[in-house]
Amino acid sequence: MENSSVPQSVTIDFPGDLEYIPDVRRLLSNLISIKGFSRRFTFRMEIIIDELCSNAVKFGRLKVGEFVTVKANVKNEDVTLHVSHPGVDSESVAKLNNAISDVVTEDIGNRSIMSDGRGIQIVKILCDKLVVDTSQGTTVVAYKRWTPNDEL
Amino acid sequence: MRNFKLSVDRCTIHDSLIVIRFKGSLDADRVASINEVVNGVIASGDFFVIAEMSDVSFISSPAFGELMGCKKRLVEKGGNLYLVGLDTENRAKLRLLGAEKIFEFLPTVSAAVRRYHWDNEDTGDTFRILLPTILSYIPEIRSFFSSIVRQKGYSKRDAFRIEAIIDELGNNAIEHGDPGVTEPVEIIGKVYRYKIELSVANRNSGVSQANESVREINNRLKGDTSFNLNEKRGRGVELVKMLCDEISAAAEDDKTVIRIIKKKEV
Repeated sequence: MENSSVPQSVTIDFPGDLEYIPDVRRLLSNLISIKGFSRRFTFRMEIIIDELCSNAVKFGRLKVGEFVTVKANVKNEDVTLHVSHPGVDSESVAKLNNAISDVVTEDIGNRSIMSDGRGIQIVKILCDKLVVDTSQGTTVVAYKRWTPNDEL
Repeated sequence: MRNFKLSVDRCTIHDSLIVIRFKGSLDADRVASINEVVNGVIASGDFFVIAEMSDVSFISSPAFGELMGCKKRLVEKGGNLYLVGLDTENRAKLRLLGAEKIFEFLPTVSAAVRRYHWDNEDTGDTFRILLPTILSYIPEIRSFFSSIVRQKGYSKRDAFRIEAIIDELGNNAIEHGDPGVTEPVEIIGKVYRYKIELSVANRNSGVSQANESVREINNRLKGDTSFNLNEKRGRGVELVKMLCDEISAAAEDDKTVIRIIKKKEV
């Protein structure tokens, strides 16, 4: 892995359209890969980026001229991802917080399933820390630290 | 009779569009209701309609035929009908009917508004990337922009030229920028239907250095500095000038900003 203790951040602003997400996630995962992280680690980051960006587009209700912002702080052995959009929708933020704190929101038939937030559950499994910040728009912060388990 | 509801509202994101929310099963006996609602919208002078279908469980062939008819009437008036939020099953069924040739399935109301903008207002889609001074990042950045412009209907040749321009300007920005600042290089691409605007900026260690860089670039662009093939440096700007339709350089505080416009090949 490249030896750089100074965080090297990359920020991408893109329009709130799902069609752009594959390109954004590919770009960021490739940039993370360049810094020496393993294929498994970057693949997992790609899933996290995809999920958080999709949520920002779907629930952000962005107007024309507004952006989803993804900022990746890449350090020696960890990556912190900030995915933001300008609005704060209290209902979707509550759902997000519930999903993060493992609250089951709906029962259908005899199956107890999450009505929303399955993607967030996957993100939660893949990263080490997941936080929602609504102090300025809505920002989801995902922190993932490299472990030997991420090596491939 | 299976459950069915529809409501008509002005779009909260853009008031030029009307959102018709369908709920339940669009059986054959709903044709008259769909017809009546869309005719009412047309009569009130609105020709851009979003059919929001995320709560639709079934679409019958007659109902789909009616939606096609509604689209035709709206297009004749200069408008359009956007289908939004269909679930996987309904999308698959409509594809079997060849619906993709008539409708584009959009995921959200926001996506439909964005499509309306792209088709009618041409406000462009903007992408902004801030990156550190790492040369190995540039190939990924140029591939990203190339993929975006291809998605927006530009030719392979246009995409290749944009890649070449970004490669050259990005490398220059990194080589001549100040590595001591965070996110020192900024690349902004604005993609319109018929042109791409691109700006690449780097931060210098001071305002005077930025002015000096711009002076040097402008001399090359004006041809004041003779272009010599044996020179190791400076060919990049000449190449960019050949590949784009407009190019300019400006100093903005401690930034050197190069702006280009590349028109779409037709």
